[in-house]
Amino acid sequence: MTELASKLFQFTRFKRGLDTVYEILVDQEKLFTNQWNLLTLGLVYGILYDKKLENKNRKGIIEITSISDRHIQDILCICYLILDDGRPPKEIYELMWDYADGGVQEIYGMYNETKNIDIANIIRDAEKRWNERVHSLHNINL
Amino acid sequence: MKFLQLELSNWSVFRENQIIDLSTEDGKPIILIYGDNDKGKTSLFYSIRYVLFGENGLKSHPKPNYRELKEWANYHSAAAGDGEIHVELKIQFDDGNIKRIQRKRKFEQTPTGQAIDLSQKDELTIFDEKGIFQINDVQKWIYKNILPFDASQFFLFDGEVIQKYTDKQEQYVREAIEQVLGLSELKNAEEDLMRLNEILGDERNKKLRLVTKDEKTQRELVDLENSISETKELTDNAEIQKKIALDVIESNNKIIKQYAELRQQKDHQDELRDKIANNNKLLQDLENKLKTKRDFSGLLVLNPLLKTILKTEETPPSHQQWESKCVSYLLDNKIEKCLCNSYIDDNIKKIYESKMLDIRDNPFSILKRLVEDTFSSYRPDGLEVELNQIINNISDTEVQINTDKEAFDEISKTIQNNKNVGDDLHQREKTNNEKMKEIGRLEEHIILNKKRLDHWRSQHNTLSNKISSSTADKELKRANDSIDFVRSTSGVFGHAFNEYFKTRKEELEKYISSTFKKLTNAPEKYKSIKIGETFEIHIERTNGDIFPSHNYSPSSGAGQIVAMSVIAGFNKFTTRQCPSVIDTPLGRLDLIHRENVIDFYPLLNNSQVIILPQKGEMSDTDVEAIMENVSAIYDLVPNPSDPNQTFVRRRR
Repeated sequence: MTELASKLFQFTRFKRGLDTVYEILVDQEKLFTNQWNLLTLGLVYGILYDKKLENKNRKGIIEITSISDRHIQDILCICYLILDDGRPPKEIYELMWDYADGGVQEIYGMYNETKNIDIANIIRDAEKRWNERVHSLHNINL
Repeated sequence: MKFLQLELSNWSVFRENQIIDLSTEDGKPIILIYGDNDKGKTSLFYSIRYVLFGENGLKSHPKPNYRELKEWANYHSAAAGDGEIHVELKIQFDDGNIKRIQRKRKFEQTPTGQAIDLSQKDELTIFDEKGIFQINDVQKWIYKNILPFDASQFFLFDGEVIQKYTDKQEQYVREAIEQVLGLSELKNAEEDLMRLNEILGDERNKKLRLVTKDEKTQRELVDLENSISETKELTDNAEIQKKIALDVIESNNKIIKQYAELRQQKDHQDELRDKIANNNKLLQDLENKLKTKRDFSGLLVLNPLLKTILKTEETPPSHQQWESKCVSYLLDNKIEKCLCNSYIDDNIKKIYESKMLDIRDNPFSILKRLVEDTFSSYRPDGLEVELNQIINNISDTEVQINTDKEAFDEISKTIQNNKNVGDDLHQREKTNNEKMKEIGRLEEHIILNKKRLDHWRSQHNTLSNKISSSTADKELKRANDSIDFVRSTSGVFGHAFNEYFKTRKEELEKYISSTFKKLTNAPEKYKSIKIGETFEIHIERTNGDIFPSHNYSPSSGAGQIVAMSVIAGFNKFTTRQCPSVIDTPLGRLDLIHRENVIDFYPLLNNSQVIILPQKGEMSDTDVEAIMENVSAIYDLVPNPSDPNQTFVRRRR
C-alpha cells in the first residue's frame, strides 16, 4: 500500500456489485489473474464511456490491503484523482464503484456477445474517446 | 510352166553339144521329136529326167543297166579323154521367170569297153537372169517348184510302160498319184502340222515346266503371304497385348503413386499433428501471456489519458511553497544538517516551522506526479505493443492451427477412404511385375516376328519380281494357242483331204471314164473306170461287172489305153502345171487306139506336150491330124561316120 493510496483511501474495505460477473470472467474463464484487474478495467472503461451502475446494496467487500499489484493501486489512485472534484472522499469512492460496476457490466455484455474481450479494440477506441471525455473531467487542467 | 530349151553334150549319142528349142506357141503345145530306134530318142527323154532328178531320174528305165548314170556318158568322149556330162534345161515358169537347170557330172578318160569312171557327185546349178540362183538345196527346190520325183512318172513317161500304172498298185504309184492330184501336199501339210504339233508339244512341255516352276513359285508366294498375314496378325495381337499390359501398369502406377502421395500425406498428417500440438501449446502460452498483459488492460485503456496528462502543464509552485516543501521535508525526515551544513537546532526548527505553509496539495499536481511515476514504471506504450503482438501471434497461431486441422482432417478423410491400401498396393505391384515380364516376352516376340516379316517380305518381293518378269505363262498360252491352232488346222487338213479326195475322185473318175471311152476301140462295152481308196483302178463293164484293171487285157494296147486315160485324168486334175514328155507314145496300140490317142494328145496337157515317137510310129496322116497343135518337129539325125554322135535337126 503506497503512501498516496493510504492517504487517498481512507477506507480499507470496499463494497462491490456484480459478484456473478467476477466469478464468470475471472474465476471461470480466467481472463484475468485476479478480480482487481477486472475491476480496474471496468473502472477505467466506466469513466471513459461514462457508464455508471448505481447500486447501494453492494455486498461484496474487497480489502485494499489484499491488492498486491502496485499498478492496481496506482490506477485506483489515478482514477480517484481524476474524479476528485472537491467533493467528500466517500462520494468519490461511491462514484468510482458506480463506474467500476458500470464498466464491468459493459465488458460482460461484450463478452456475452463474442465470448471474448477484444481488449485491443477497446484500447484502439480509447484514444479518441479520451480526447472527448477528458474535457468533462474537472481535475485535469487542459 | 514350159520347157524352153534343152542343151546337152557327152550324153549318150549326143557327144557334141546339142541345143533343142522347145518353146511353143499359144494353141500349139506339141513338140514332135522323131528318131529311130537307138538313135537317141529315149536318151533325149532320159536327159530331161536326169537334169531334173539326177541318177534317180533314170530308175524308171525298163532295162536295169540303163538305170545307172555311167551307161549314159558318151563312150567316145570318155575314150578320148576326161570330160563331163552336161545337160541343161531352160524353163519358163507361169509367172514369167526363166531359170536354167544345169546338171553336170565329170568323167575320166575310160578305154572303150570299160565302165566309165564318173566323179562322185553331180554339179547341179540353177541360173536366173542375174546369174547363179543361190539356194541351199537345189534338188529340193526342183522337187518343190518344178516336179516331185514320184509325180514325174505321169508327166515324163514311156508310152510302152505306162500300163504298170494300172497294174496292181504299188506304194510308190499311189504316192505318185497323190502327189499329182495335190493330195500329197494336203497329206504332207497334215504331216507337217503333226510334226509341228509335236515340236510345239515339246515346246509347250518346256514352257509347262517353266510354268510349273512359276506355279511352284506362286504357291510359295501364297504360302509366304499366308505366313506374312498370320505373323502380322500375331504381331498386331502382341502389340495390342503389350498396350493393354502397359495400360494396366500405367493405371497401377497412377494408383501406386497416389498411394505414395497418401503415404506422404500420412507423414504430413503426423507432422501436422505435432505442429498443431505445438501450436496449441504455443497458443496456451500466448493466452497465458495475454492474460498477464490483459491484467494491465485498465492501465492500457487509461494510457491515452495518461499521455494527455503528461503533456498538460501544471501551475509551477511559488517561492513560499518551495520553502515550505523544503523545510517540511527536512523536518519530516528529521534531517540533522542543512544544505549549508549548519546544524538544525531548535531555533532553526522554529524558523523552519514558521515557514511551513498550511496549504493543500494541488490535486492535478498529485495526479501528474502519479501519472509520471506510473508511466515510467510500467511503460504502457510498450505494454500495448507487446499486447498487440501477443494478440496477433494468437490470431496467427489460431489461423495456423485451424489450417493445419483442416489439412489434418482432409488427410484423415483420404486415409479413411483408402483403408485397404497395403493389400491393394502389394497386389498392384505384383501385377505390374507380371505385366513387365509379359511385355518383355511380347517385345521379344514382336522383334522376332518383325525380323521374320522383313525376311518374308523381301522373299515375297523377290518372288513377285520373278513371277512378274516371267513370261512362261504367256509363252505357254501362246504355245497352247499354237497347238490348238495346229490341231484344228490339222483337223481341217484331214477333213479337207477326205473331202477333196472324195470330190476329186468322183470328177477324176468321170473324166477318166469319158477319156477311156474316147480312146478305147469298144466304148460300148464299158461303162466307167473306178478308182479305189488306194487308187487301184477298176473297170466297170456296161453289164455292171467290175474287175481290177490288171485283169483287164482284151489286147496288148488296151492296158495302155486305160493307163493313158488315167494319166490324162491326172494331167487334167493335177495341181502341177508341168509339160508332158512322152517317149514311144503309141507303142503297141492298134490302129483305132492309135488314132484316138493321137487325136487326144493335144488335150493331154494344158501347157506343153513333147512327144518322142519312132519314125514309123506316127504316119504323116497321124501328124497331119494334130499338125495345127504342133509348134516344132525335130529329127534325130545320126552321124553316119560316128555312131556315137546324133544331131538334132528341126524340120522347116
